[in-house]
Amino acid sequence: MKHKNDILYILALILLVMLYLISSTDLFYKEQETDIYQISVILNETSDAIFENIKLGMKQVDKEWTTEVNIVTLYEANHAEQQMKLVEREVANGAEVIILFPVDAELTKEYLIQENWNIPIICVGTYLPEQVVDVWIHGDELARVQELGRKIIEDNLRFIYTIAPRIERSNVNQRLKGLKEVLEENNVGVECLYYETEEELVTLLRELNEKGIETGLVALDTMTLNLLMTQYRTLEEQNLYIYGIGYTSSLLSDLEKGLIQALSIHNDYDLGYLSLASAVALLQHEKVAYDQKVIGGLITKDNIYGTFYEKILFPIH
Amino acid sequence: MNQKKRYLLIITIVFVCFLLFKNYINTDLKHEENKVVKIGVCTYKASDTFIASIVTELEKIIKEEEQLRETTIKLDISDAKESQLTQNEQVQKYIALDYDVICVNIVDRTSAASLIDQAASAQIPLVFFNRQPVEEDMYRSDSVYYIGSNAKESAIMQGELIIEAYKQNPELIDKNQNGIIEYAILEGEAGHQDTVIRTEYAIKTLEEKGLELKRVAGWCANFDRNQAAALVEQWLSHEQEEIELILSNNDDMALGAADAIEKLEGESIAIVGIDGTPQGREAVDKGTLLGTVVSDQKLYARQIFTLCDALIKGEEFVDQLELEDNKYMWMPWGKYI
Repeated sequence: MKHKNDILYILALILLVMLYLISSTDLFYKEQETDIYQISVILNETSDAIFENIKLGMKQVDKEWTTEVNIVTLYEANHAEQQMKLVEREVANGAEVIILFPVDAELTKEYLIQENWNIPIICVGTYLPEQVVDVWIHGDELARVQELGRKIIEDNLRFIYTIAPRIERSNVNQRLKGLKEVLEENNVGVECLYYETEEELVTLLRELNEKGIETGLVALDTMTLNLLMTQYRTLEEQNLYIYGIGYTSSLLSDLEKGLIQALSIHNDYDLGYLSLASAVALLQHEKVAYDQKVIGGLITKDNIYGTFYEKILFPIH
Repeated sequence: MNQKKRYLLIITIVFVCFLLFKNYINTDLKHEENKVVKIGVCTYKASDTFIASIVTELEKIIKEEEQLRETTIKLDISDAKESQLTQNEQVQKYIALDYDVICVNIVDRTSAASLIDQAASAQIPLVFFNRQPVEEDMYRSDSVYYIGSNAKESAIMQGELIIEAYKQNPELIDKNQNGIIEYAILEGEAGHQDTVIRTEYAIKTLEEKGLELKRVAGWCANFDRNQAAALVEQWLSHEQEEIELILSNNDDMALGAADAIEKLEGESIAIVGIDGTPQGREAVDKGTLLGTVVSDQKLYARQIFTLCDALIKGEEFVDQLELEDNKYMWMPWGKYI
């Protein structure tokens, strides 16, 4: 009898522990969890202000899939090594895919080969080969700058200045090369100017503006154009013909006001959408094309509200 | 001790040991997970200049702190585009993703209850800022806080600022020199506590200081620059009486009024705003606005971060902040003329 009691108590004890384990832990029964994809987007600027439509495109994917997107900006402008440290940090923090807007293609390539982070990398904008990244999403840079070049010729300018940060950026180099080809073929002179600090950029702008009318200036990246226009708007006399790459809402307003002659753009919304959609597809082990191109074009104050460009510039969200 | 009692004692001891062990494992895991600090910020409308500059400052602070501490602080900003439903979804997402703190610039100040309850059950602190939920809701949970500025104080300063300018040069405001200030008022959102208080106390201050006033126009422009511009354009085109002073509940609307005057190429009118946004201060420097009342956005953002940081670190750090009623942190105002 005593023995039987002992056995009963031990059984009761085991049952109690088992019930507790089943109800409060996932030791025996694992509760089905929704997959939340951890994706880090590492930008090539210190602010995400010029990436508005890209973020909108990403938000669209976020509605369809559960993703936790971490958008990371640089601490210092154009700091390629710092960008790689940020990639490293995000991988260590559990990012499952990295969407990268590289500062410097060469350095990024070296790092990616050397570090071999073992997670999918999606490159946006700047070219990186298939050996180091899984997907490359971009606009047709060459076609875009050639179109811009033709517009400059149409505006009858005989000489233009290009301006860009003094840093090796492969997409900027590619733009410059394409633009120079078209312009020089048509006997338009080109001089490339570079700046390191914002103050330097302001000085260059003032000097060019003082040269008087019919001086053309092409900003080879959106951030440069943004900085440039912030100053240009405040000048009493505005003498320059300004062209640029990319857009923000304030740049579009400058275009409407005639402060900017033309902007070469691509579909940022699609760029954002495709990058995050590709990230999710890769995580679901689906096949994703390496080379993905988005449409673009040249906007002026006359075609900005045409159906085609309006859809690109002001996506419905 | 009989046999039964002994068994009961053993069962109890085993059970308690088990609970303690599980608790230890959970705490340990939580520490491991919390290496990345996650702060979610929900704004009622990202295009509101005042809110946009607070967010920009907050982003800068987070970057500085990340570098100083060598940790990752994830800051995610959401724009509700003036929809409470959208904002609810955004807060729910932050809760589902286990954010450490959620800062909410609520769209509808009467709709905070469900957000507070959901965050409380997930044990995530909520920091409301700039738009204050109704008082009953603020006390639904201990981990609900508010950072904002005192609307009454800003309105009194707005009034004082006008008095100072009037004393210095009465003709600057009383253009027709009849001793009466014909004014128009641009109000924020109807029913918003700041709209009611700022309007009431700005006028009260002017009257108390002995200025004779006559209201010739006034309407709600929802704190929005474009709406304000449209309203002022209409007033200036149709009002029979001259407007000598435009009181605005915020800087964006004051700038909208200036836009309308510029568009109509009309004679300048004394316009006074509240908030001290970068654009507002720039307009004061240029002489487009007579003055504004400034709530330092850098300090505002710093205080939001300080509170979030304390909430993440623990209760003793929150106590050190000496919040009013353990909930409220008030921002100071200053005149900009």
